[in-house]
Amino acid sequence: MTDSGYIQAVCEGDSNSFQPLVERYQQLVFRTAMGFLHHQEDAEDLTQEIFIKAFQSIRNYSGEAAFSTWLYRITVNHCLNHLRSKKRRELLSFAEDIFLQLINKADDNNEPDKLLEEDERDQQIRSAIDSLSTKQRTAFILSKYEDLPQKEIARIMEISEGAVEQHLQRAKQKLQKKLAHLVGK
Amino acid sequence: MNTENHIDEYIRKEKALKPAPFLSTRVMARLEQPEQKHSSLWRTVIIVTSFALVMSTGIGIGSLYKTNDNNVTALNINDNQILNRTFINSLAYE
Repeated sequence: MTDSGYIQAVCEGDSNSFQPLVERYQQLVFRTAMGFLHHQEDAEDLTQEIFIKAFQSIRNYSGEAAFSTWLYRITVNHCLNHLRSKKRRELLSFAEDIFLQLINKADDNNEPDKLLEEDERDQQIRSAIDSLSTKQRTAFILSKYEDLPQKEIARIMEISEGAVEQHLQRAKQKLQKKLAHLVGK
Repeated sequence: MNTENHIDEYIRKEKALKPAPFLSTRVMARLEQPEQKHSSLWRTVIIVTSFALVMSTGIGIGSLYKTNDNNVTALNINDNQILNRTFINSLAYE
């Protein structure tokens, strides 16, 4: 059944018809949330909340845009609201990730120093992505994490394609500037 | 390895992650729960009001504890009895 069919069924009161939509789009929503949050558990929690929000708002879906476009908009807005309202556990998560990776990779022949260097580099990349402006970050995540064309990104962000291209260019320049010291490592 | 490759590698690692299994089941289970409406603003107001009430009650109870003892003790000290100032002053002029 197509998305429209399931949506129609949900609007008519059959809430079980929402489950196939969740299964179809959960990876999309989760991946986008990962782009914003960089934390698997937080992204999973937010993915659940996003689908609940989508279910509650499904009657507002007019069908003009694709369901995926509508869902992307809810996802992006929810992620940005989450980042604004809640404190990020960056330091704790970073320490936890390092500890877990050291335990999990204990039998990999990787030296601890190399692991720490890699985690430090990842942290710097995370920080650099998070330092982008809201629109640059959104465009960057939709482009890099979701591999969406600029036209689709423009539809989701409700801006022109030219504006999307500009945001992506500026995001790229800013990241290269912030992470220039990583060259050669 | 240039900067872009590092970024792409990082993104590739994050993209490879998958959500927990049965996510859809958990979502459906939550949808079936009765909607719990709660306003975080009202909760904050209630907490602050309760705190203010407790504080004012405490201050009120504390201010009820008043002593009716109006006795005032005062000391009148006559320096001349302690020290013979006339003698000292006469010494100063010698």
